[in-house]
Amino acid sequence: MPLYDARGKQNRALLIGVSSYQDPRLPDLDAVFANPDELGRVLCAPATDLFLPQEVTPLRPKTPEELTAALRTAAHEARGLLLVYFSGHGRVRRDGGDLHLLVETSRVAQDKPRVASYEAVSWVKDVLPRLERSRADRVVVVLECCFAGNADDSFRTDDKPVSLLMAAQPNRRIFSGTEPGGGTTFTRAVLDILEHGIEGKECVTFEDLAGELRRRLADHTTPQGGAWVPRASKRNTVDDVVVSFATREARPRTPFVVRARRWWRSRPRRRLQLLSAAAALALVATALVVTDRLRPPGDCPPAQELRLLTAPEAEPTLRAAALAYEMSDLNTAPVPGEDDVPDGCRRTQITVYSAAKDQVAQGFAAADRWRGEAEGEDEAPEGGAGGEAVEPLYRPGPQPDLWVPESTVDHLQVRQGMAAHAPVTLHRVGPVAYTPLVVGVPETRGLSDVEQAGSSWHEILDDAADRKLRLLRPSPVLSGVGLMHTIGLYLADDGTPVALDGGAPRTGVAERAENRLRAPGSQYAGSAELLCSLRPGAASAGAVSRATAAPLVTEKSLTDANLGHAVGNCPALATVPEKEDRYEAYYPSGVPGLDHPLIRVAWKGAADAARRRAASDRFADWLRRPDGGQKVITRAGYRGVNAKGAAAPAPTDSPLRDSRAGVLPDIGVEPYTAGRQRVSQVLAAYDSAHRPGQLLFLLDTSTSMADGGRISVAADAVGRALEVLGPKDTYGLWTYPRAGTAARDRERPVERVRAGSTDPAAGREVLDRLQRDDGGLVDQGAWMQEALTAALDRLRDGPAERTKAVVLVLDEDDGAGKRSAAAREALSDALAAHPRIPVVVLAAGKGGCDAAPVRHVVEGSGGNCVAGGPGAADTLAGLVASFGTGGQEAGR
Amino acid sequence: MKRVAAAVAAVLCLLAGGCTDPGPTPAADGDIVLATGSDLSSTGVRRELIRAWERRTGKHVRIVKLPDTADAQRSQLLAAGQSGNGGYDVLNIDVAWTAEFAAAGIIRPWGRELSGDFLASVKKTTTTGSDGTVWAVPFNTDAGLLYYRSDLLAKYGYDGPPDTWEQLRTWSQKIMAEENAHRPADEKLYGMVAQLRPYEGLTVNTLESVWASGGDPERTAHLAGALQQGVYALKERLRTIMPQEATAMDETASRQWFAEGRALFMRNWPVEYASVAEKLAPGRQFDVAQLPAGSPEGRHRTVLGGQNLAVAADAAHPAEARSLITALTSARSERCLLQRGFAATRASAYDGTAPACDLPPEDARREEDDGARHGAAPAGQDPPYTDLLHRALDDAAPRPRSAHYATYSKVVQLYVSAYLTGKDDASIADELAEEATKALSGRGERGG
Repeated sequence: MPLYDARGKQNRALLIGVSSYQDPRLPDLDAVFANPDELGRVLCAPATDLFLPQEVTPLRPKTPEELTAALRTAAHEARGLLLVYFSGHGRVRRDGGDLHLLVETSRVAQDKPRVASYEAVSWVKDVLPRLERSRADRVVVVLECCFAGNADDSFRTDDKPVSLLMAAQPNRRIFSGTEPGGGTTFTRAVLDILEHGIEGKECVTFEDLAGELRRRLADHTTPQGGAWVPRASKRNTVDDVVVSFATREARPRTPFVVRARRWWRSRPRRRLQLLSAAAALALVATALVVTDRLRPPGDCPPAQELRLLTAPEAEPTLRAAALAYEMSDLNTAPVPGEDDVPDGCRRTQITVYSAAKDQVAQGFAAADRWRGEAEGEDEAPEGGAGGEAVEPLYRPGPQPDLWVPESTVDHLQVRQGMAAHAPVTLHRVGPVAYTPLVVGVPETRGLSDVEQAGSSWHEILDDAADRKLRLLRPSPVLSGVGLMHTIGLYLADDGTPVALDGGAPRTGVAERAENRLRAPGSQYAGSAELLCSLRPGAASAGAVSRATAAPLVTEKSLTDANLGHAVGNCPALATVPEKEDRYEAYYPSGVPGLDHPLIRVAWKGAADAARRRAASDRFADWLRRPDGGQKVITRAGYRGVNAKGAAAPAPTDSPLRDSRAGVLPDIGVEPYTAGRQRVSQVLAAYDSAHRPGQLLFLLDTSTSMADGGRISVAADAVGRALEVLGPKDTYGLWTYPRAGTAARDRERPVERVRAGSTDPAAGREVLDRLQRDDGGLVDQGAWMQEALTAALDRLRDGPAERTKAVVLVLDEDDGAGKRSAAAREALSDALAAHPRIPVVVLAAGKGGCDAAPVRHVVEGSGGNCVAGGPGAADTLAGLVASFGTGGQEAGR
Repeated sequence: MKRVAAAVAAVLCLLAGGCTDPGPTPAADGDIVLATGSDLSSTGVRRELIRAWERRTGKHVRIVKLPDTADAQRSQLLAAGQSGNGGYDVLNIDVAWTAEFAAAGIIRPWGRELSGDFLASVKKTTTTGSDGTVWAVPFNTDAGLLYYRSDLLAKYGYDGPPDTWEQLRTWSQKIMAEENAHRPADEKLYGMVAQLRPYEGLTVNTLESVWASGGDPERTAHLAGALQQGVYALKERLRTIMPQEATAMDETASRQWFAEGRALFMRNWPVEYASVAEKLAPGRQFDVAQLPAGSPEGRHRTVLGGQNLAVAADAAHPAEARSLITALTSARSERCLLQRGFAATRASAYDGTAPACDLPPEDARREEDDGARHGAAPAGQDPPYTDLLHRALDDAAPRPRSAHYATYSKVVQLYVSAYLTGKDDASIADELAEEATKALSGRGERGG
């Protein structure tokens, strides 16, 4: 059960004891007299550790008004815990209802069955409404009076969490009036428990207290005879409230925050001085800044919206950091350029979103179109045949005010691709988070001849080959992690750091590395997605065996995977994975790490440019400060940034320090500083190390593809895949079924774009048309087997030196039962023929990747399957990129 | 509030360089520019309704395709509006943003009141909650429903859906125990799936749980008691009857899970009905019901979803924009929307008093074919869940209508997500209540 801990909050205890009564029919209760003071003493005792002396009010009310006024005050002042204790006479109506608490002047109503008493305090009408209106987080009520147990029947609050302890069960008297002075039985037991704790417990909670009281009173009887059973009840809460920190065990020190808050609360005069000084300062400041200062504070207008673009893997961390800033005090300070925002209002709000690296580059390259869309300009003609494919506002998304790419290299690439007179300028502020690049090696297959740190890529590749490890790398096209890993593999092969004057990659290095990595279909859109696909139990058709997979990722994402945190689309695990499901991080020497530089993006023509810039700068500064965003960033498993902008050591609360993370948090990390030239050389070497690809896209265009906008999803994903083709890659775009009634017609796919084409515009035009009104969808069953067999045959006839693959997009099963066995056999043969041509399936329909025909195709061809859904387009693009040269330099 | 909003609008005008200038790029071509998420850009009934208006008026509507996530759409429209850059006439906005866009001066007031038979709960989303000014017109709405496997319930002797969340949990536990005794581990049946990934869906599921625990939708601040019980109940369901994967699920992922037959119950929107109907394996049956209540006498609360249409503050064609919005939200249009799988915003669409949908058959043909194929709604008929949806909408309530709703939602997502996935059971309700109240106030310190 969750525990509520009120220490250090503004608490109140109202301790009411009534021992003498004017009405002769009410015997005085001498025993009660000592109760309030004794309870007050115990509540403030260091052992109990809950209330400060000024928070406790003992009260011996003469009149009901005295009691209700004190109750109103305490309820109003309390912010944390409100404790209300009553010890004295209680009376109910004949039917046991309407409990009243009696004070000194109260009178018993005899012979009036419908009235409990006069001049008394009603539990329902006087006490509960005041508790309900209290501003306290939690209320605890202790009733020690006759008929206390009857309070439960009418115990209702609308929303306030209240716990009620009743001295006895309903319809019991607990006082005879002959008890000796010096405290009542019940309260003495309460005091002892609060002051000395309970055997075996670290603190006393409300439930503990009730349980212990029942135990201690088990051998007592009420004055009328019969068992004495204290009762507990609560409303609007499932928590348990700590009512004393006394313990018989070794006791932890009161947390510093609590002590600090108490120090502040317990020095009213000092506090007053400080507050007055602050108030005076604030007044002066207000007078200086605001002209009409007598106006009451107005409603806060919506804060200025900033758009922060980053890579998918950094999104969760930056989102948490941005929210921390939004809710910080700093964000209520005025921003230069703002217009009359009321005091105390938040100035900035930040939306964090992400996109793949190549899309960000395309967006900035088409910055004028990006801005044009945002302003409703009519740019390209609709459906622009062969025209501009890029819709930057749709993808990558909003026009960013801030951009945090994964590394300086991504920034260099974008700058290179931008037009000379783009309506946007980029201003580099500096790194916000570091993380080294690592190779994750399954813990059970640790490398034997190389160390976790200090070995070169060359040595690691050799050893990994000996152990038959399969290296997996995120796509260098879509992901900054993949690109930086490629730079490390090519330029730091021998372990020497990547320097500005190093020249092109040495001959053979790129080929050797790519030979180990190239395995078509082995690339992923990012490092988190790669690790997610390797999660135990992850259903990824065609995936490599987890036991031999060695992912090339970041230290941060490997830590998340090892500790069972959420990675990519994989949820957090309930427990940390077992040792055999974890990886050890190897740090190849000389490889630069990710530095996540923050770039401020200024769009021309923004009317609020000055304020936008000031707000962005202030957030950027906060994000880089150790007492600001760095706390969030290091807690997420990144290395922080020091005052000079270099990587800072991981703090003690970093998850990197968890031994199960499998990383070496004290290994240094250096950013890439070798300039743009060497990036281009790496990309050129990557290009020539890959055989150009030959792809054939085969789309199901039966009418069922219109369901739920599937054709849009499919066309979107194929369009996205076309973007990652390199200049040397070729493709074709076919659809099936063909319109027509003869079975003969239906067996042949429609060749919309001839296989072997290079211009992506032709494909985009077809996709556009498919999505438009008439759609060109064919109202017939889709004959997938025949179409795919034809596609495989055509590819097999193509030039042998190319890497070949079919991308099949289909929505549901093909009515396999109705298809001839011959068609299925022909397909099986085509799938199995050598050299095998992998088929990548985007399964938009029923059953997703599990549908029998899909599995037949994927397993028969050694291909992959991507299930339709969020992120499907990027995943498909990552796979497609691995079959070609990757389009790094295309169109730049 | 209205005065403040007007003042803000005036300020923005000044910032934008004077209100006489309609914006940096007045659409000289006369096209009406409609900004919307991608779901309006290609096919579908909403696109058809726009075409019908184009044919009638001879005007042309140009659709600007915004990012495909709702957060990014809002961010771009708001930031561009604040920068004085919007060149749009009509904005298709999520109902939850209406108050913020009004206060930011990005949309124009629609009028003093909203005429027509719009549902009472839906009408609320068009005002900011602080005065009666109407800022937008409801286009399509949405209400959360409980999807349930009727075949499995019947097998275990339950003749209808659970009435309370407590029943849902105990029935689930019983059926899970029986079913999983003879199922292999990878086909394990779970009691329920819902949207608990940290995004807007988590806020929606949290609010529904809080409302079922006695929270009042009209009260947004200081809800510690109900909040505490609501998030506790959510975690309790996660712990006992939901897969851990639910903490990474959105609408699509939860629907896939349910359609694969791996969950007994699902909370989702009616738009997933056709998908489930199509994909659930033969022999398995499902039905929909209102979400359970907190107690036998409690209300079956759900969060209102959907979109409103508003005229952009600096629209170059305000008259045409009004005409387009009026047409798209007419009784006849709403009737079309209902028949084609959307939740209509007018009562007449449900009770049959609206004029018949008159979309030309050539436009409608394909969608009606689809309807026939997956049995959702044959041509010209209502989907099978229509009456239920109407009842659910009557019991639905909007999310807090505040200019600071977005921050509020982010706070809820952050805290609840950490609570749901955390091993630590420490109570978050007080801190969450305090932070959420602060978020809604727009202020930096604890709100009054």
